[in-house]
Amino acid sequence: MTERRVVITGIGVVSPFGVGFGAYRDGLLAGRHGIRPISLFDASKSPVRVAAEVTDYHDDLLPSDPRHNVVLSRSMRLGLVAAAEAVSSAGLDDRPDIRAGMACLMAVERYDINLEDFGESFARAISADADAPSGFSFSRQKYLSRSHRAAHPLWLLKFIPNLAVAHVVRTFGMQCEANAYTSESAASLQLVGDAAESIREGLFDAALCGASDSRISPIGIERYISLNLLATGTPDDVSISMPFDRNRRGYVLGEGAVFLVVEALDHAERRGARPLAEIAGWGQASDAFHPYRAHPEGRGLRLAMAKALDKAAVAPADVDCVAAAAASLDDLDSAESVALRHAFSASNPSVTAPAGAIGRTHTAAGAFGAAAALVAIASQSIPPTANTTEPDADSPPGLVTGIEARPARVRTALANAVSFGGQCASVVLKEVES
Amino acid sequence: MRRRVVVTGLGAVSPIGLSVEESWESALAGRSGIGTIDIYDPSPLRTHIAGLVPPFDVHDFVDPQHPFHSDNRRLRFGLAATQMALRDAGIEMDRLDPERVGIALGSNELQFDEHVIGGTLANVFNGERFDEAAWVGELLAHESPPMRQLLQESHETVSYLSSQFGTQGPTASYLTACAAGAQAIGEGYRMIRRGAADVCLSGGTDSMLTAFDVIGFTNLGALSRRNDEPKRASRPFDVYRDGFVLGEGAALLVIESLEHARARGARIYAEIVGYGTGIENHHLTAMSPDAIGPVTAIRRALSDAGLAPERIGYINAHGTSTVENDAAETRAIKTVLGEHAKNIPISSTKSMTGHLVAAAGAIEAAFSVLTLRDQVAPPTINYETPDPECDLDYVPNVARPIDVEFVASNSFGFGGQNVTLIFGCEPGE
Repeated sequence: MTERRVVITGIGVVSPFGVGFGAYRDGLLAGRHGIRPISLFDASKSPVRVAAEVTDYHDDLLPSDPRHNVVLSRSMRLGLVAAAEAVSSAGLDDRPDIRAGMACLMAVERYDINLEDFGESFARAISADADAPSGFSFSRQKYLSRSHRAAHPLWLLKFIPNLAVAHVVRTFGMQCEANAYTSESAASLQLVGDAAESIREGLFDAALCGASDSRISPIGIERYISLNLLATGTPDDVSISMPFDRNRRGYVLGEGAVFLVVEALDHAERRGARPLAEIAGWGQASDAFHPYRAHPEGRGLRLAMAKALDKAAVAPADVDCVAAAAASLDDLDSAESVALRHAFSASNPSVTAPAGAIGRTHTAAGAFGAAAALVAIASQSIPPTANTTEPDADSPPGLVTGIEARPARVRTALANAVSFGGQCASVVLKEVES
Repeated sequence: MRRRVVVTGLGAVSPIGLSVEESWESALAGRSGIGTIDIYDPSPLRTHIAGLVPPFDVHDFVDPQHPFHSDNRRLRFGLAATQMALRDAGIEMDRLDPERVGIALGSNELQFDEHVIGGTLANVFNGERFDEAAWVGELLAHESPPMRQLLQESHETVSYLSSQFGTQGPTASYLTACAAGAQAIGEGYRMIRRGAADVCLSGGTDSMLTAFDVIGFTNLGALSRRNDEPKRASRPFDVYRDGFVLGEGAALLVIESLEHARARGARIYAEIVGYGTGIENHHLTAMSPDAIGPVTAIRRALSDAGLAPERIGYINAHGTSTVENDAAETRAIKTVLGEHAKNIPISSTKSMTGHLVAAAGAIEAAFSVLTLRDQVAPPTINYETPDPECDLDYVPNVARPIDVEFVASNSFGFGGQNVTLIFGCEPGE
């Protein structure tokens, strides 16, 4: 029996290059990056001054019920806009019947307390205190009994991660399956593989799969600084996301959202939808090594890539392009270099790392990698790795640097994702011959 | 061909016991684990009660020399439950192929400490406004240990478990709120069925008891305020129910392919025969009048199992003790099971454990498996006054021997993601 083939028929992206897959594609191909001084909060006294922010988002773009805006976190908003583009590009705007039968699988993120939502409530519980070093002290009793009421009563709805999924399924009238994953960066590739498996089994014919992430905030920054994971610098240091570069010194926070419409080929053909690529293989594995350091030999990623290639029945020599997980991190980039050398010992695929342009987008990173692989297939060229000028001695030999895309025949592309904590996922995408 | 998936090990810590057997014994005896919150002073809050896990030493379960230390409650519960489940299954990890062992865990979002937020903000306050730019520095100067910081990340519990137990197969956490534990078991079942792993540690761990959590749920009108009678507060299906009671804990199931279990001579508790999910998109937080999400979940689970509704002999209900859930769940069961709904025992063990949120579906799956093993239905305690909206057999107050071949466990997530699991007796030859 032949397996049901699964394809991607729609894509939506909100990235630091702007709203829309086109902006992401053009930005990557031009070798630009989206890193700027932080504007989402006052970072003037922070050791980290830059991030890859989405700058042209505004609430008018939201496809959802405006009455819900008050309970939408920034990440949920970016996700809804990307989901709308994916639905539209798949030709499903006028097909509520099909949308009702679609699953929604989404990688979701945390949300942090911030001054915009909670400043007033905390201010009401802080009063002058001559004994306190700053002259003010916080009263827990006052906060918990009264002051908290100054925050919006439904604030919890911004924090519960699966509400991001609830907004998407409600907006697009989906009634099939839903799931909310997190495995940090790997999650948004894991769910693409899981959706493909479920489609093969006939559980559903199509799924809206994606992720959104936004954690450029005082608490988010503090957490990753305290773990020594972020690159620090001045507001002028905007070129510091440099995957595989020997001068890399930590990652840059990115934000954004990506959604894909994943669909059975037979279903797409019946409704006349044009596939962007076939999802040929997928694999997941774990380092089983450390809560936030990568295994030095890239153990999990090697296994994930091997499973994905095996599932796709693609020989390593037939992979034309790799969208790498490397995000300008010392250990993770090295681990991926080792894993790629191991997987492609006899061949030399072109390698690009989109994190150079858009930073590390956490739960969305895997989906941004898949989107970069789609860019390579659609444009038949490999986007350069922005900001990387001096590749590490052990970096992948096929790494594309500079500011120009490298024209190439791209039939098959592999996307990788590696989480802090060692969850790894790979997906193989193939050109669909018309 | 679909591979069959069986349950071979159980581990748990809950408000009613520090092991699965102890928790099960308490459940059958109808003992409540609800009390006054004693891990901080809850007096400024409107709700003071919860189901707390009794103190225990995590080093009974993991090597004290292990480098990844933490006082994080979710992690401690998860480590203990996982180790107990592996021991119960008779598994020594170094005798399995680590690449064929996965983890699927129900988990939850981060937690905040009002002392840290309030304290650091007080230091950057000038009487009128906060100096946001200085707040980052204050937070950094607070020097919260990096590991504690890291565990704020919802995927990190699973990373710890994978590092601790050396599992190299697929690993994921699911964040579908109150359905997460059941969804993780369902996804673990698919993982094995599809051949992506032979063994999966699946379940959930959660502790959502901070003051912020209590306030958040209080604002939604979801929590019981029966502070003066904690043991009577969780009363699913009773007409005088006034909200759910938060609980905490973890439950992990070792699940594996039937083939793998037989090859290693494992004791088999039960088979996972069905997993179904359903979306409720009628309203963000409320269920639709026809409970379409739960109805879809139950139907899809039955269809996955290839079972007629009449074959289900017991349901471990989601039964949260909120006015809305219990009535909607009753309607959903009647919609799918028809007349048969009246003939089968249905109980909510949340009446004793409270609501373990992302671990709820996991401990209830463990109880469902034990219902099959022991052929006994645990009771719904505090069931005193029937509600006309809830007119089924809820096994009031006393456990009951039953004759059962298939059981279902419902878990309905806040936000509209609903899950039903169906378990069957140990498969024959």
